[in-house]
Amino acid sequence: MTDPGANRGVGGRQTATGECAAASDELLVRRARQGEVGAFEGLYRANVGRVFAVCLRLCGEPSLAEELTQESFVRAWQKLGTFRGESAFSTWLYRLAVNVALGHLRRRLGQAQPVDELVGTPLDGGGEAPAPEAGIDLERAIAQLPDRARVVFVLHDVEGYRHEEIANLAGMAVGTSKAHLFRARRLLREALA
Amino acid sequence: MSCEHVRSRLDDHLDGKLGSRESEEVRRHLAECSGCRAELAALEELRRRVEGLPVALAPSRDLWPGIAARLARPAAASAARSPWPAWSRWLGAAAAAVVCAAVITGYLLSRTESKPVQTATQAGRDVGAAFASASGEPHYRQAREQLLAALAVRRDSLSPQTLAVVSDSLRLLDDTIVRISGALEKHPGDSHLDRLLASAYRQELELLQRATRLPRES
Repeated sequence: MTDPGANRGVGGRQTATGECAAASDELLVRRARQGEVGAFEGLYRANVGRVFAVCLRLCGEPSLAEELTQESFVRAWQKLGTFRGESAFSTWLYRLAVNVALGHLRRRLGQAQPVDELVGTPLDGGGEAPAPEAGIDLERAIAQLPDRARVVFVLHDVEGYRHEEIANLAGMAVGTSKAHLFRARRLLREALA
Repeated sequence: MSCEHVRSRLDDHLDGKLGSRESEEVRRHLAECSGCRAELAALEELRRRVEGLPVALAPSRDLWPGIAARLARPAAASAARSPWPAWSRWLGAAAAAVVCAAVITGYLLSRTESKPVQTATQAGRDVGAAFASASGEPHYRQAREQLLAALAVRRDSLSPQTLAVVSDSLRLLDDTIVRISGALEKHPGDSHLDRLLASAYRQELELLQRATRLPRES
């Protein structure tokens, strides 16, 4: 598993600020694991922006993203005992948030039809680009992508996951993940043109 | 190489995932085709904009109060979902509390223990190692009687405060042992209860052993 969001850092290097944040997280995690809610609030304050961002980009709806963000932190609190510190807490938390958001999307889309069969079907939003409009920004264009295209685009191009990881997480073939990415990029180019 | 084919390969071209021969073919096509070059430029522009996306976004409201309210709830919710029967939950909590009390008592007593006084009986030696399970109950009973007898002999040499601490802790431990034993009768073979009972035996004998070794206080 790559570090989600690793491609968002400055040249992929750990910055001094990042190291301080990680050290601070480590201390707060230790206290939170002993049941200190105040320490967990510190972890929430330090990480909520990024958790909300990934939830929003994955689901495309602000109010739903807020619910998913809350759910992610509640699950993180419940699973804190399983966090071994092998990765940074923030990395662990974002993976958990991605799983929470994908779990919700899977339920929303239903499991009856195999994901691979949904590529390009009306349920998946068809092949139309989001309607171009003056001043549309990238965030809005991403939000208007069909669900699966959006998920693959956000995980691959924004969060830095590999197709193999996306395929595993989203329950689709690697080739399908690539097809969704191709389509998402095309739709976004058209929307932003 | 057709424009359609080249455009289908532009993503991989940008990602550096094309083989050298195909990559060279795409490059050659791009050098001659302004339409495909424009496609490539649009793709590069999209990538540039994605890299400019903020890492964090602020939700419209503070989500913490909702989270904090839910953190308070799981205790009751998880208790309701617990696979353990109700008696084992309170029993576990009670036993943990008693073990803590015994440890605290031991700590307090050790502070007054300047030099061990060898008045403990033979049964008081290394009692803590005697119980790996509750099956050591006969040994526990025998050792307990001997240690209580030794403590009675030394009763007048200990302060009322120390005696009160020892007495309260013993009462707690005895109460817990009775409850765990009752639960074991209903659920024989339960390894969790068995270990809990053995631990309570051990705590009680260690407490008695410490008490019998206290130096004279009065």
